[in-house]
Amino acid sequence: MRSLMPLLLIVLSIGLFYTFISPHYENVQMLSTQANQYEDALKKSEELRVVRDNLLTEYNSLPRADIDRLMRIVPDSLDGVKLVADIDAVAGRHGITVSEVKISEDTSSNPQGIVNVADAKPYLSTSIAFKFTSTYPNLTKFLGDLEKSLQVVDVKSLSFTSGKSKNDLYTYDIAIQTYNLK
Amino acid sequence: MLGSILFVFALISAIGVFAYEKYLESSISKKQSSLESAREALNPELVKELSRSNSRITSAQEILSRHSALTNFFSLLNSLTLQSLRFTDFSLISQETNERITVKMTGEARDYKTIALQSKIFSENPSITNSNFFDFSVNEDGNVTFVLEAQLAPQLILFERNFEAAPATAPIQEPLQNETDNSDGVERQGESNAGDQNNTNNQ
Repeated sequence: MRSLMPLLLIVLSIGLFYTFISPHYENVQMLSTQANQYEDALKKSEELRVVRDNLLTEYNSLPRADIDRLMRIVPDSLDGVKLVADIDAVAGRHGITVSEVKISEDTSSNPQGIVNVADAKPYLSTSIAFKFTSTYPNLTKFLGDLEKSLQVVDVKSLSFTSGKSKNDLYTYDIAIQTYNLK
Repeated sequence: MLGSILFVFALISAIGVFAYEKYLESSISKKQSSLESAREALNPELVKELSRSNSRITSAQEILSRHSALTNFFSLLNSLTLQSLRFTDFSLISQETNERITVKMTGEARDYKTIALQSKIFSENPSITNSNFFDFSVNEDGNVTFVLEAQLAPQLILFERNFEAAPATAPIQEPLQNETDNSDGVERQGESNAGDQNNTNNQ
């Protein structure tokens, strides 16, 4: 019996290793990795807090008027009817009335819904097409006012035919593009 | 003896692994709580608002850098168009990024010589590229009608160009009298001929 004792201890040791130590050691390794990930996350959250504080300080240092201007340049959403009313009001200053207004959100860049990250823009474009009748000098004044408006408006196409018009009045077809944040 | 040493070692290892496992579990639990507190301290709503403000600023920069001012082109056209030539139909199409701006105009001129001079003036201006006059014909009034297609340099219609020191339009050059006979009054005008029928000599 005494001679079997060392053999029994060796068998017990091997049994202990395979039934307890090995599975728990594997679990320890997994927990250790997890603990490191949490540690990294905590460090990153601290870095993020510093970045956020700096950004907040910068943002708060911006004059309120500039922030309001930014909101006009790239609004959160686009109220098409109000924009057309604003354009008509600007046009009205030059004796112009806009008609046959068509509004369409730009979807041409992504017909299949596939987004290329490099091309992804944080803003949306909306096209507005309309017609109006005016003299050429009033057209240029109207365009000048549109160019300077705080709600950014880019002319994408413009066409007119002089034909045999009287009183120097021509009918213009115009398509403009404006923007809002996604 | 070897069996005893091995068993003791196995026993110590088992206790050590078990204890360390419990320590890690406890540590992870504390870190989870800390991370949750840190997440709340970050104020996700504020971060979202700041991120949106950042998007707004970068969007505004991009949009304003491409913002177009078509009046720059009309000013240039006014300064370059000859008095004895007028444009009747006009169409301009700008691509999404303003990289390609195509202009197509029909017009009429007193004679072929005027068109040749106009073509030369346009071709010498760096803001108007690939200008091409074609489809010449003589109408009932004896004027030569034509079609012009050209592309505009994107810089010409950039709104920010208006804030540069240089003038928005190319300076008016003296009529090219030495190169082309200008005795019949062909000269560039300060007023627009684009769509302005009253400035045509043939009326």
